[in-house]
Parts: sequence; C-alpha cells; structure tokens
Amino acid sequence: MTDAITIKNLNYGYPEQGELFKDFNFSVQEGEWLAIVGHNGSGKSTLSKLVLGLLDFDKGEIDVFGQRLSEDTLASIRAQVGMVFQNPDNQFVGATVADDVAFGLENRQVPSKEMPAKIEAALQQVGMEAYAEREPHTLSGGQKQRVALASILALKPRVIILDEATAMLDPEGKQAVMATLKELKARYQDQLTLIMITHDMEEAALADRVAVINDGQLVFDEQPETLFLKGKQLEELGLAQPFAMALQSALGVTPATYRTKQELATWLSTLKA
Amino acid sequence: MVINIEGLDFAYGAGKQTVPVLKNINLNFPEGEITAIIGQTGSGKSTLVQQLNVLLKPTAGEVHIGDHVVTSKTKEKALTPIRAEVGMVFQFPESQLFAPTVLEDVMYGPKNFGATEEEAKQAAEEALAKVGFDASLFEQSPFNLSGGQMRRVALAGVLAMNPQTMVFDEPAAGLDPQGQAELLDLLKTLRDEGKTIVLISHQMEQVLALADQVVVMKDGQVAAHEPVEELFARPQAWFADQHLDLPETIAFQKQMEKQGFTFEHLAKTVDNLAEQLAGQLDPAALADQSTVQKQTGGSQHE
Repeated sequence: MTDAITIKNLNYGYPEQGELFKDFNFSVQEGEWLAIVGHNGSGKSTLSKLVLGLLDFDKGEIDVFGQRLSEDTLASIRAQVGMVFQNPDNQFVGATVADDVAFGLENRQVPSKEMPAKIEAALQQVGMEAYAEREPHTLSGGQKQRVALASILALKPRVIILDEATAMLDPEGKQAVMATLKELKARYQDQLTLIMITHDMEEAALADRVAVINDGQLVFDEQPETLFLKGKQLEELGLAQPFAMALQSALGVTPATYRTKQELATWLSTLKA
Repeated sequence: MVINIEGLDFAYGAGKQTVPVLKNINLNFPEGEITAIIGQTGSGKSTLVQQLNVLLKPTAGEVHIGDHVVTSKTKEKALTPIRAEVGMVFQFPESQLFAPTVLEDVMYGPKNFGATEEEAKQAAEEALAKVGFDASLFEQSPFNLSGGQMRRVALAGVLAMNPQTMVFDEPAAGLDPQGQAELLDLLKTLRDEGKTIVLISHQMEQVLALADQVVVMKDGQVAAHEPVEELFARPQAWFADQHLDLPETIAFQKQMEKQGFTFEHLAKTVDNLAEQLAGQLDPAALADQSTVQKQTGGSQHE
C-alpha cells in the first residue's frame, strides 16, 4: 500500500510554549481509517494543521501522496485533503446548503453546468439531498456537519480529516455523522483515507488503527481491540477507558481479548452463580 | 438565591405570528443544589434557561429570581441588576474571549459592573485560581492557549462577577476526561458554597454524577421533574420516548436485569455496578480469567 501521509523528523513548537513535536515520525496509509486520540493540548489538532500547511514547522518533512509539502505544493496538497472542524457554525459561507457545496466547486472553477449534478451527488452521499434549498442556520448541528462533509466530498478528496467534528453535537447528531462516515468508507474503501481526531473512545473503536498522542509523542499505535486492553494506561494518559473495560477492571478481570458491552453482558450471564 | 417559575408560557413573535415554545412551566431551583435540564435538541431547554437570566421575558406567568419578579410587563431597565446575579456560561464560552491578556479578559466583567481596577484584579485572580489556571500564564494572550485552558479563562470570567446563580450550557463539551472531571468538581464546589446551579447537558454520565434534581423537557413542556435517582429508575422505554440516552452504568444495569440479575441500588458508578454484580457471579469462574475466550464473534484484525 502507498502512504497517504508521511511525516519525518518533524519539529514544531508554539511560540512561547516550547517544543511540542521533536523528531516526530508517523505515516498514514492510503485507504486507512485512523483515529488520533490524546488529551486537550496533546498536539493532535496541531498535527493536522501542520499537514495542511496551516502552521509552519521548524524542521522535518511532510509528504502527502509522495508530494513534499512546500509553498509550491500547498495548493495541490490541500486539493487532496479535506478537513471538517469542530464548530459546525464556523464553516458556512453559502446562503443555502446547495450554495455552500457550490462554493468549493466554484473555487476549483468547475463549469457551472456541471455543478448541479455534483452538488446533488455530494448531498446524497451524506443523506442531505432533501435540504439543498435550506438556509444553513436552520439545520441541526449534526446536519451542518454532514453538509460540511458534502462540501468536501464534492471536491473528491483522497483524505478527509475530522478534527473533533462531533464534539459539539448531541447524541443523535453524533450518531448520524458516524453512520455517514461508515457509509462513505464502505462506498469508497481504499479510495478514501479517513483521519478522525477525537477523545471519544466509542468513536475511535470504529477505526482500523488508533494513534495515541501525548505531549507531542506517539505513545501507542495499534488496533482499537488491543489498545483498549490497556485500560489503566489510557487513564494515566488522561483518556477514558471504554465502559466495558472499566467495568471488567472493577470486577478484577483482566480480559485477554477486548469485549464490547454486548459481549461482556453475554459473558457475565454465563458466570451467574 | 432561589428561582421559581410559575405558570410560564413563552412564544416568539407577536400578534397572530406567534410561535409557542414553552407551555405551562412550573419549576423550582433551590439554593445549594444542582438542577440539570435535559431533553432532545429543540425541546425548549435553551429557551427555558434564557428566562433565568432574563435574556427573554415570559409571555405569561412569572419568574421569581431571588427578590425580583419578572413578568411580560417588566421594564428592560429593571432586568439589568438581575443579569448580574445570574451568570451564564454558554456553550463553547471560549469563543467569546477577546482581551489581549488572560487577566484583562477575566477583569472585564467586574469592571463593567462598576468594580475598580484593583477590585477587578483581585476578583479575576481569585476566579482564575478557582478554575485551576496557572498564574504564570496570566499575561499570555488567551488565543495562544489550548482549548481546555481557554475554557477555564472563559469560566473564570463568569466566576469573577460572583453571581449567586450560575447556568452552564454543556460546560464540558469538547474537553478531555481530565478536563471534564475538573469541571465537574468545580460545579460541586460552587454548589457546596450554596450557589444555585443549573446545568444543561446531553451527557447523562454528568447528569447522574452531579445533579440533585433533573428537569426533562419535551416539546416545550416539563415531561419530568424529580430527584436524579427517581428519574433514572424509570424504564428504558421511557427514555427512548424522550430520545434520551441512559448513563452507561444504568443502561448496563437494566440490561443485566433482563438477564435475571437483581440490583438493590441504582448503579451511580462503575465501581458500584461491579460491586452489585460481583455478589451474583460465580467467584471461581470469575477468578479463572486467562483461559476465558471471547464469547461471541466480532471484527478481529490480525
């Protein structure tokens, strides 16, 4: 498999706050669904901003699909990487949902006669086609985030980064966004690389791989099923353990393999005295 | 400061164009207690709390805030002193930071309500200490801080005015577990100081851990108003009807009940749930862990 993103010997620090990343190395493969987790201030959002060239780094190299990030390649890299941010209210420019999706296409100079079909297709993929003529402010948070996703999908990105995109949503909104992501991944498979920055472990559980970042360092990098077995260590890093792990640990059980809530309930029933 | 809402109706607009939002609300928010308000998005929660700090006035009925009474006829001028007594911490309050330094940002509120420079500085320093903000960062720009630090500055900005009632709208959203735990502790401290605390939250774990009583809103009306233990003892189907989740411990407890387990108490914590479960499990089987394999399938990447 080819690398979607390769980071080599990256050094970066915020002004006045000292070094955050020091000789940081990391890669994301094409078609992967990756979750990056870490406590507030761990550097996980900074990393995505560095990849998009939104922040300048001091030393190191970032390659996106083999292209070295530099002033010359910035536009080409941003064309391949779409980003959904945390606050659903800060990402709208259009007067209607359809206008909003059109905005990105206009920037890419897509001929106007091709636009309606592209907008329709993008909205369909996130289940928002019925809302094309609605004003964005009349939508719920979860609907707004799905429109933000549609605006990116219309541009056919190879990588989508979601930076705590569900943090401001209510449970229904969260579920709708996560269901949409699952559908997109099933549809595009290896054609789409998903990077989800989150501290919600239930969300991270959906990824193929979870990278745990702490103070600019990669602490764990593995499948969710094995990562979650490190329950206590996750808590020490300021992260939550999944509920099923916390309950087993309170029962004095150290499972050999990860159990979901449902699996745990079934298993405990077999142990009933 | 006690808040009482009596026979409150609220509608947006005027004349024939009105859109009723709140209908026949009767509620009491006691001192030294945390009252959680929960309900689906659009159920009227936010409109309700805007009556508490009088950003909105009732269309009918009365809101008693300490010694003040607010009705549809209350003049705008009479509302200003009430607003100083009810502090609002809106969702993502850090988006409202604006001053060049942390300290100046927190001093802004007290100064605006007439405190001298010296008084405002003292109030700000105390408030920042209360939210656990590192004093070495007082002169930093608030915009160079991490999300969790910005949230604390914004909270301190409200605390510095020392309001007797505080309304928190999803105060922990977007914070990591440690930040959430610290924030919940702060709410408990404020409650123990005798303040009236109102908490809007979608996170049922928070409601279970913090609230003394819970108000459930549905379609602009109060669907339930009762102590937190009574609320979560309701059947699962009732919560599904309200489009509300149950806290994970309680959802799991109810699931185990269906499989023949019995519980004396509502499991407020994971430890308590484990304790109540352990007594009903075969100790030998539980002790023999290393050989136990996963019971059902599931995606395993190898």
